[in-house]
Amino acid sequence: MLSFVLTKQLRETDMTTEESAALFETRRQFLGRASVGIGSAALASILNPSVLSATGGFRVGGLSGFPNFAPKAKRVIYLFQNGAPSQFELFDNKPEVVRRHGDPLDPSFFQGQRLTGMTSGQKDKRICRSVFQFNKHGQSGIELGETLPYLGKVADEIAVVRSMQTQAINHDPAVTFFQTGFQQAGRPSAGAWASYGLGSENSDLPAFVVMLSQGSAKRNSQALYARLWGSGFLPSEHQGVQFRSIGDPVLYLANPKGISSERRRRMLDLGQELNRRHHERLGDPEIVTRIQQAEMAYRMQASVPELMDTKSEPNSTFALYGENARKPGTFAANCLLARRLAERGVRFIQLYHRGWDHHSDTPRDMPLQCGDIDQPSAALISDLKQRGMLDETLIIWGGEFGRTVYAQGGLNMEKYGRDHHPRCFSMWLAGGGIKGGVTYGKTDDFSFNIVEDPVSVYDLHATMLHCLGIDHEKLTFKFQGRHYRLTDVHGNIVKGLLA
Amino acid sequence: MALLFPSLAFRFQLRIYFFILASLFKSATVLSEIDVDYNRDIRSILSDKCFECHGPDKANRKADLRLDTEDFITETVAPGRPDLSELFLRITNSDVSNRMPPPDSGKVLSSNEISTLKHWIEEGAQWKKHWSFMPPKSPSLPALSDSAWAVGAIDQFVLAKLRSVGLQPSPQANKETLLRRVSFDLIGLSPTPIEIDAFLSDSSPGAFEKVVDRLLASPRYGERMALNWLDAARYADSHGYSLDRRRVMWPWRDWVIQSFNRNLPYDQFVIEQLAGDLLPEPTLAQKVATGFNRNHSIQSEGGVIDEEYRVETVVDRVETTSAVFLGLTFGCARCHDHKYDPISQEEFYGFYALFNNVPERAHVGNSDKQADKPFLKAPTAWQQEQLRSLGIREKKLAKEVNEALLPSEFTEEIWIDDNLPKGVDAIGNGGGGETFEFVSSPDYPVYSGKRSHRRISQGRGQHLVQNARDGLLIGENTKLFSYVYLDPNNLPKQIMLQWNDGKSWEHRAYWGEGKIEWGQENTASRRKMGPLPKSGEWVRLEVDAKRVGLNVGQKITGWAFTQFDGAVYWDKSGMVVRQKSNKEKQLDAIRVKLIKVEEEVPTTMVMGEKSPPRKTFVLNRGQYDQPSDVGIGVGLPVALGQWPNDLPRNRFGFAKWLVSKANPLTARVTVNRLWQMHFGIGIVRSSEDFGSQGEWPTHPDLLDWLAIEFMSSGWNLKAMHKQIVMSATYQQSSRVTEAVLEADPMNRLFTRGPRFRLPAEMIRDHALSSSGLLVDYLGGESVKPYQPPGLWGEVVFTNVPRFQQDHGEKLYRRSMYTYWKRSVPPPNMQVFDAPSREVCVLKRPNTNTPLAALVLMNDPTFIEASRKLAERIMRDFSVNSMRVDQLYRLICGRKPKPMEHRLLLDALNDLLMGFRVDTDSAADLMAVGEAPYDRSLDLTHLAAFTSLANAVFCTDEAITRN
Repeated sequence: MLSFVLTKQLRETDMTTEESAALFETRRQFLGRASVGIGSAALASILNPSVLSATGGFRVGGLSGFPNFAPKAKRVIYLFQNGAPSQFELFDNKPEVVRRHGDPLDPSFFQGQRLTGMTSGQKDKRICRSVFQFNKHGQSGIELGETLPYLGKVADEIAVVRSMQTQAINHDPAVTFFQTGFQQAGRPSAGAWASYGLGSENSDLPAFVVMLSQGSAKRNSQALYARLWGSGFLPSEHQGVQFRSIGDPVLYLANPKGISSERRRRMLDLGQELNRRHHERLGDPEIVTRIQQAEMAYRMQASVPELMDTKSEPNSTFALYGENARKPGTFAANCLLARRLAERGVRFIQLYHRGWDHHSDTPRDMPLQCGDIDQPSAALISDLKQRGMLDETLIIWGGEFGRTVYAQGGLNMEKYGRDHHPRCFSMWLAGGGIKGGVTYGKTDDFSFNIVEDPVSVYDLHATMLHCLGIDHEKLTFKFQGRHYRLTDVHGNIVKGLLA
Repeated sequence: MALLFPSLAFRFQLRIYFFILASLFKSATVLSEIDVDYNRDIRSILSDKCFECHGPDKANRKADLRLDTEDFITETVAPGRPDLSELFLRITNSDVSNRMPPPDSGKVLSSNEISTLKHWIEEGAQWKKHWSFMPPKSPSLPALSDSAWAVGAIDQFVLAKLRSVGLQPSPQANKETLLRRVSFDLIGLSPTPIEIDAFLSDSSPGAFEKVVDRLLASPRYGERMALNWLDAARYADSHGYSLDRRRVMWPWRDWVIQSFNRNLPYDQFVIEQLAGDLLPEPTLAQKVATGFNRNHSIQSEGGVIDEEYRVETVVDRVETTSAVFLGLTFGCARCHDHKYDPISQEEFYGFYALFNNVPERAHVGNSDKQADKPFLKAPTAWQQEQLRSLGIREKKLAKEVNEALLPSEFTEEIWIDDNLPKGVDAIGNGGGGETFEFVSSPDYPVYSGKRSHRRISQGRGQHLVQNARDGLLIGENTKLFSYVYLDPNNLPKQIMLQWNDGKSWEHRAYWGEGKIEWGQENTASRRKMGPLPKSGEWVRLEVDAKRVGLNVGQKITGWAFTQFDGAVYWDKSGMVVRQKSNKEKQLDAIRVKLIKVEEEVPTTMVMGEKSPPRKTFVLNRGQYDQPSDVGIGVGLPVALGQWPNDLPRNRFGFAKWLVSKANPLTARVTVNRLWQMHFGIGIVRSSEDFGSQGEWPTHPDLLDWLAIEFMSSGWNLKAMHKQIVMSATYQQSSRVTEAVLEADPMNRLFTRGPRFRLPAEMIRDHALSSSGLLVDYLGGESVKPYQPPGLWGEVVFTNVPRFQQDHGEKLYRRSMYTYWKRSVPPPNMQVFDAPSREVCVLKRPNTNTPLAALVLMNDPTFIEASRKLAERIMRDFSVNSMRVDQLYRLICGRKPKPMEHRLLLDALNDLLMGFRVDTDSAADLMAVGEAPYDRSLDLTHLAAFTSLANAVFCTDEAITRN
């Protein structure tokens, strides 16, 4: 009640985001301070400073005034495909490439396009067709490569963007750009921005969760970096929390051997009582927050394993996501967990799947990678739909750039690969705020340049934030004198994708 | 009880909020009593709301109006008459389409801001140059009556400010609190019980000063001060980008620690790090110091364009250097003129030119410990001593050997014949299988003894021995030999001998074609000796060891017999050496030692200058591949002053200017960070930004006084720390009442002592030191203590090595020595806000999260420390009551109060009861961490005290410096 009043009133004062952040800080301290002398039961209820969000739901943290307008999506599930999947095999069917297969690529195409050091010295750049066929799916007739049969079954739910473009041509800067809006380290990730702006809908789980999986492709996987889910200059509580399949699901979650949950409770009771007495003497509100956070840690010791334990899921779940979903650490298992996290109100769920850097052996590795992701990605869409959550969950699927129309190395149809290509590539989106059954944007006959409706990384970010009810120009944080945004000074909402 | 009345609570809330604005940032509510100051009150409004279109950036300036220089006043302001001032009329215009700022800018002037501007115009609209660009002036101390509380100038400034808003300082903190506070602040560790007792029993007036002097003299001081500097200098043990492999920069880190410890004056500290290489006859240490600007990330991804990342590297140096030493955000002027501060794009590249002349590649390969040029060998003091003393002995022996008559007898030292050298691994690979196959006479050709070894291969195949314990020591004129027999009916195309020197196989000689591709032709890694030897008979192959890069003192630990196709028999292999005298053997032994020390000498990256110099051009939109034709020489932004005529236009000249009186910023920026270290928050809160968008200092005169004091003391860091911690302001109790919390919620007025959570490193160090585990030697290679399994494997490039945990002493070194991998920073410190060290960080956040609570609860580091602490108190005391007190004292730095003592004892008894019936759990708990537990102690008690210690480590007090 108290918090609700606060939120409502303060929105009217039209503060900047920084000012309201400062106010929230003060409010938190106030709540702490006001609790002096209140018994622990009352304390427990005070210590969950939740506010009613604009949509009326429960919420922890976030900025007042956010969302800025009624959101289409409450949360994001971002299925990042690390290494850059090829558009030629999956989304961008090019009959002209098939016809011209083997021809040297007209040098006029390269005007100004930089190449990586891997093929800039390759004299003979020949047009290379995909060895995989394309099929039309659903009422919308979206064309997908034959290695994506399951996705085909939900084709009418997804919007394929064929006209993505980026500025980076190497993995590290390109992934960093996609995840933080800047090619160099130091900026907050998209999930951190969402957590900062919108907070969480669950007081027992972080607002921003990250899960990683290894691809089945028989090749070296490109690296990932903590900065991709880092908080940059935002307060570090907004950084993504990794949920892991090795060891503790959240780092340091489990009690050590010899400390049972009951014993931990007894230890915690002592610590909290000492904390309370200390607070009575000193009055520092930070102590109260410490008490609250320790309690949340204790609750997480129960809530996280419960979340991660999918044994209670019925067999139909595993029929939907595939048997791989029973194996912790697979992309399928992570998709299932993503759904469980979505159900519990986690704001931003970021998956990374590795193994897409197909400089060679596309015919061998493409079916392996698609085998990892096809069924679970499609399952996530149908599962959310059957639970009535698809229209409030934005799903994004894609890598960091595209691949070249020419073959890297020789034109060997059993082993061909493709180099990096930033000028155009494909992604897909689905769910909250997105129009299904759409193919957006157009590339030329060689998927070398975009001919219609280019979508930049900034545009994608602006659109994503728009779906979350955020004006991407309003979500700012002042650092080193500048009001930083995820979209820097760019970004247009891609209206053609919106429902 | 206010809580039960929302409206009341809300009003109270707003009052706090407005108080922040009102008292600190000067809004209209109190302006009627105070004159408006352009620098304090006006510039920040114009900067934040107007400069984007009417500021320094000429390319984006609208209506040719700029509000960042004085001229706008004559153009848009009628002093004393807001109603006639265009500026005021535009911001208050009722017609939205004419009102400034325009709605599409997303900027709105609040009513407070508008009335502040009005007030300023009414008072005459005085303009001033931005405060931080004016040199600090020695302020007069405020006149105070009845100021017994103040012990020095700091306190007088603070007290004057407090009185001006009707507040009082807090009383002095109690001695235990004070000791713990100053110990953490100056050496990063808590006081020991002995130190506490000594201080408590010292009632002399100089007791605290004695403590401060002791701490400042401690070698731990340098480590603690280095903590913040490593963040600023983005120091790490890995290259950052892509493969993110191991690098060696710790000689620079050790230079930092040593410099703090010997109290190198800060001006010299700055000069050596920015331009040590350009000093006249620089020492090794001065060159190592320049690693400051080589700590940046370096690319390793295949296929990148080096120039792109070289440009990023230079930009990183500009951003880091300007933030650390000037408190300015130069990076904003890379693509266009700075939006807020007077730094044009040309001026950015004038600064950039300082760092653009390093002969670097900005790329490293895929192996550990690679350095990008320029780099140098930086032996540690111990290594230097070893190299020196071994060098003297070597010279002496070499001379004696030279002058003596040496034996002239040559002997063969046989390494492989019918038997293999001791301890080797003998394997095969490639064509012909995975064994080292011996065959015997008379069925097969044999040259010596009863056996030879044979391989029949298609394509490349080999067998080899490796990892010999006692290798073959190479002497002078050593020749390596093997006997070979080629089957005339199944000839190979090529045969090759390869030797391993303990590190690599890059020593090869071959005969015949060039089918086996290893090594680089015409180097020691691939020497062609001639055509294939005659087949059907035994032929002796002989190779001069020097030709294949094996020099005196090196040892052969592996020998490979390689072929391409065919059937090949090998026999007797070894070396021919001249018989040595005893003196020569001694000399060999010395040389082996020398080589070993030399191999361990770290290589560290440093700055250097390219000749002829690289030209600098303005880069259009800051893009590496879009240089304009505007050539730029080294220079300073006009707003910061002129480049002094007597200083060279290079890094050295720049560094000298930085620490000269002509520069208004460096001393202020530095003392502000020192203040931030002790108070958790700077006098200028935006310690990384002293520009237009930065915050106005809460105590401008105090800041200037400190800056001048610092410079006139000879930039004496220890003196400045002492000055601050000896102040009454620093020594206040942190206890806060509701009224004070309301009046000064963030403690910006210093109404109380500073209280904040310890930095990540200190939390872990405190656990290690209070338990007695801490290993306290200074410096050296970074270490890998416990971390959860699999963290690197999940993210690193496939063929990059995984985390290998260290053991023994390396588990217990101070946290600043923990191996810092940028793509996967140490997880138990990351949750306590330690940065990734990818970019310069001048102020860490201080968060309070459940993830941090989990680290304290469950990280083996903290469990093990709790266990060792339990052992310690059980050995030192025999009564539980005393043990509990000591436990609390070790962790919290004070004796528990009676009620706390009772709580601890109650918990202990519960825990004892539990473990008594659950001995398995007690044993399990003892197994956490690699330090063995003291089996002479009672297991039940040990487990209970371990749990108790862990519970206390989890409290707020344990991890807070109060």
